Amino acid sequence: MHTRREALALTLAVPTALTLAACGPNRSSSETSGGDGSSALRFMWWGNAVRDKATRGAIDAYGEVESDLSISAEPADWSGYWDKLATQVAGGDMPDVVQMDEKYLSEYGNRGALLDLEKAGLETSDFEDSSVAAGEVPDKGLLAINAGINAPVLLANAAVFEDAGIDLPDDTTWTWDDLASLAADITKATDDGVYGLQQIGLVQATFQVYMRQLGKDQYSADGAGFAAEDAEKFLAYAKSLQETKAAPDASVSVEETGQSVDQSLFATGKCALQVAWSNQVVAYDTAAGGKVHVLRMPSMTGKAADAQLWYKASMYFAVSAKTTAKEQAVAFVDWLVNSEDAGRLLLAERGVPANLTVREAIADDLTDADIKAVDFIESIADELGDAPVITPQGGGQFEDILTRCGEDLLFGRTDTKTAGKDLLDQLTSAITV
Amino acid sequence: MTDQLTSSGPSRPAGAGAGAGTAAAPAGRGHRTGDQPGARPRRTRRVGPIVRHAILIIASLVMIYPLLWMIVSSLRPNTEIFRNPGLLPISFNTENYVNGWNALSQPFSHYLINSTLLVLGCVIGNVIACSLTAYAFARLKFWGRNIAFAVMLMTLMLPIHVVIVPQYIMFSQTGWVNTMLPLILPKFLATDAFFVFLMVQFIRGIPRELDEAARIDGCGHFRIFFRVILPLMTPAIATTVIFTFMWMWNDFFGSLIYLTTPDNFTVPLALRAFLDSQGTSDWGAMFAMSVLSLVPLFIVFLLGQRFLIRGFATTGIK
Amino acid sequence: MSAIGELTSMAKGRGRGGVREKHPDNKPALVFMAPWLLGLLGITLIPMIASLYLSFTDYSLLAAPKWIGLQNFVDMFHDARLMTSLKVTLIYVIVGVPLQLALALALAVLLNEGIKGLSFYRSIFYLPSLLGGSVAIAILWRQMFGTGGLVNQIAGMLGFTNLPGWISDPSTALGTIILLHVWTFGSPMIIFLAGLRQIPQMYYEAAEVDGAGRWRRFTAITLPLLTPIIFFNLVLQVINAFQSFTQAFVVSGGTGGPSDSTLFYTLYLYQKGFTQFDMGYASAMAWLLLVIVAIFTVINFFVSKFWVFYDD
Repeated sequence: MHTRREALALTLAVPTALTLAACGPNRSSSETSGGDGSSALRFMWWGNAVRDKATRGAIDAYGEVESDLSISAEPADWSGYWDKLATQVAGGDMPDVVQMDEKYLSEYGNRGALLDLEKAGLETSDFEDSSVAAGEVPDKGLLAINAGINAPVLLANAAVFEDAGIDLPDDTTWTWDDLASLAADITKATDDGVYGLQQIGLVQATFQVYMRQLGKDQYSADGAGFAAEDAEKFLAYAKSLQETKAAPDASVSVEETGQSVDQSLFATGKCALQVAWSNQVVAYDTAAGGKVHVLRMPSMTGKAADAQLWYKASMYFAVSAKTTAKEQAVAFVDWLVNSEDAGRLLLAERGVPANLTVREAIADDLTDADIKAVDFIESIADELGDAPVITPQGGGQFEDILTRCGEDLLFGRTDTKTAGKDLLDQLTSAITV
Repeated sequence: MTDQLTSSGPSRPAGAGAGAGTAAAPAGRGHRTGDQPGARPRRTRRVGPIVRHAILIIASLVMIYPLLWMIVSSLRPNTEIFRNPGLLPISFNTENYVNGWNALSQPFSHYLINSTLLVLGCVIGNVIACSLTAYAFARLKFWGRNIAFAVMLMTLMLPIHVVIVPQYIMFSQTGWVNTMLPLILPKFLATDAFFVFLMVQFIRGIPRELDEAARIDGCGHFRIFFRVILPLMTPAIATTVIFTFMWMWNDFFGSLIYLTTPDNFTVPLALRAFLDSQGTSDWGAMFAMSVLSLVPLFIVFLLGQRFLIRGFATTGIK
Repeated sequence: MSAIGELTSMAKGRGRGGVREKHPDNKPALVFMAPWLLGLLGITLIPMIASLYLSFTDYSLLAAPKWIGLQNFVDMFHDARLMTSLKVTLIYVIVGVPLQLALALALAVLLNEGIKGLSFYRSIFYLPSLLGGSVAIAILWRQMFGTGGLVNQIAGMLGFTNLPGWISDPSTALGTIILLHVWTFGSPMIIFLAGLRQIPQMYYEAAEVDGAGRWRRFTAITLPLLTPIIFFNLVLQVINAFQSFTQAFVVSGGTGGPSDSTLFYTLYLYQKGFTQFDMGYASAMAWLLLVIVAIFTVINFFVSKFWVFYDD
């Protein structure tokens, strides 16, 4: 009787296993083409209600460009988005157009989920040069197109500086030591529970900037781009921030990791300086009551040109490799990134447009906070370092690894040497798949 | 009646927490049997309820704090929510409710209706399918019962995260993705083993003499089920209704995976749409709509708990 | 008798009588069980077997699975984070489940009495469970147990200073999540309440005629008759606690931090499957968990023979 049960179970299991093995047909296909020549696209993105509204506006506007096409809007929140996308890809059910993040670009790209947009004829001639390269996966081509430019920034809350009676620093000449002592001064000059600087040792962007200034980078073409000693130097700097009280103690610092913008010490006026990405300027500025100044990260030498900043893509648009409506999908993405009409609807909400024509066209429609970000992006244009290598498969874990090793260090569970080694070891094992 | 003095006496004035609770228990039977006069010594009668109420009130404060905090936060302007962690000062800024209601692609009522439809389907499915299955497990002798029971328990032991992908692939073959069918249909097929097991335990608590009496009167299993067992398991069914309602009302992961377009979104998905871990979130609207979405839950709970207490004790069978 | 008890008695009975006598209800059972059987074969079992198959593969979700035999299971033995997550989960189960059940039972018994405002208290006590794993709870928990949170503020007024940030300190973070679990005791409480209400009044009346006191009636009637429900809660809470995910996910922001101190087994499994694109490994982890939970459940069923009382 057992065998009969097992046999039954097996016959049932086989079709599923087969589907998994074949990775399924692209199911959107069955729905994409109606009999009357009209077709449909599915477009999935992550973001808040503001982005949803802007994006839906753009979709509606595209309806006038391409009246036969219907686009189904499928928004999700950041963390749910990735669970959903992975599941849909597994089911052979990937939406035709998706929003993509640098962290996961090679995960999807190297496994053949994304279409080469350059081959598909996407127009990129108006783009800032390095911004197109940011979507190129080695050996695979242009798998995603920049939907907005980002750069690491140091935000200053002018209100806290005022309280401390301290002037804003000159960000074209300052060094990491200047930053540390300035932050320590602010902590001293303000009330208990107000700090000069967030614990930037737990922040990925700081780590990458620091490595680049050491002549290294987070990744090289064949793995981790730094040595254990480099990580150790960075972590020692972080630890010193804690010891000089430039940054909060371990407990408060750890509470800050993974905190949303609105909940952060910086946004609630309890911290003067915070590392962020330029597309978050608007969010922090709103939360902190419009008193935010955008500063360059410090350098080792005191020269802004040595700060080794770079343009990152805040996010991308990508097209499913298995879409059955390839031309329509690529045409839609083309319109999203190249059309001034689309630009005027989407503005700088996804980051400063990488398309220079679009950027110019929307200049008058931007808000004050948007302009802060655009100005910053343009002001560092001549100081940029080389474009970094794209995050390899498994690199999406880096933030978690940095947080874990940093937490151990800040709580005094390890020393900087061990923490630096752990950081490198864990990253190496994460990206060697 | 003397033993009660020695047993419940000592722990009662001591008062704190669980000890007092357990010891105080039997007194509760009093209100239903109504035979209390003079049964207890004066001292305990007066002090007991006061201590009990004191404990309950303190405990209530701990329990109700999050709700109060949510309501207070929902009435604050966005920039104030994280600047004042406590309950004070209270502001009465109702714009979060207006904004939250209208901020998404559909008015919030749309998501409330979606959630209601989903939950109603699941409740009906669970009540019917699980009670039928539970009756078989608890009362019928059939081939393979114990193995079936073990298999059923096993289905509870795998985390959803590994079964959801194969399940999604399965349902995407049927074209049911972006409908509520993948969420509701399984409930009609008694896949919620939790409730089957719950009902099995309740049916086993019903004295068998009742079935046997019915059988002697010539009732078949269906009549026994509908006439004898079902009325007697009202508390278990009320529990099933309340839990299914609550769990599906709050269900995030399943809805996230299966419902793709906003017009099919349920409340938990809609609430996430206010948030962006990378950028600006509308916390005020999120809190306001969270508070609103608790109202149906609370109403169902209040209605449900009336049936919860309509057990054996009050159905008049003696 | 428990299910295991039945199993043994069935084995004994196998010698005598025909199939008809042993299983007199095969036909009606098929009708009653039809939905469940359909659900099992059509919906539940296929994904389970698929996940078992996947546990022997290298499966990224994004590309087809590759058969790698026992490699995932071998890797698990060298995975330090997996061991951490097992330890965290075991502590949670062993401390959290009994605490929550004891509190739920105590309050259920207390609330079953005829005190004034009964339904009011019942509703209030159920509130935390209604809020469940919502995002709001994560924020609330931070505001209560953070460095400048409510708990430290109150402790400060009482003269305690230099207290840790309970959530961010690796040595106390798990404790706050256990507390969160205990605090949502509403569900088992409701089940206990329903169980208490099902105890026939006639037993109490008969006992009273015999002159049994309240405590005696509690120990002789309430407790024994409630054992099936206590047992149910115990079994299910253990199964659920091993798979506990939402609270840790929400409070730690999905990381299991600080320093992996709240890295629950299922949280790690989720990270492996969905953020590290290793669903094969995650499936293998799931089946290891199933074996562990099954062992606990079998022990539970076995021990139940000695303390659970069924009327049948």
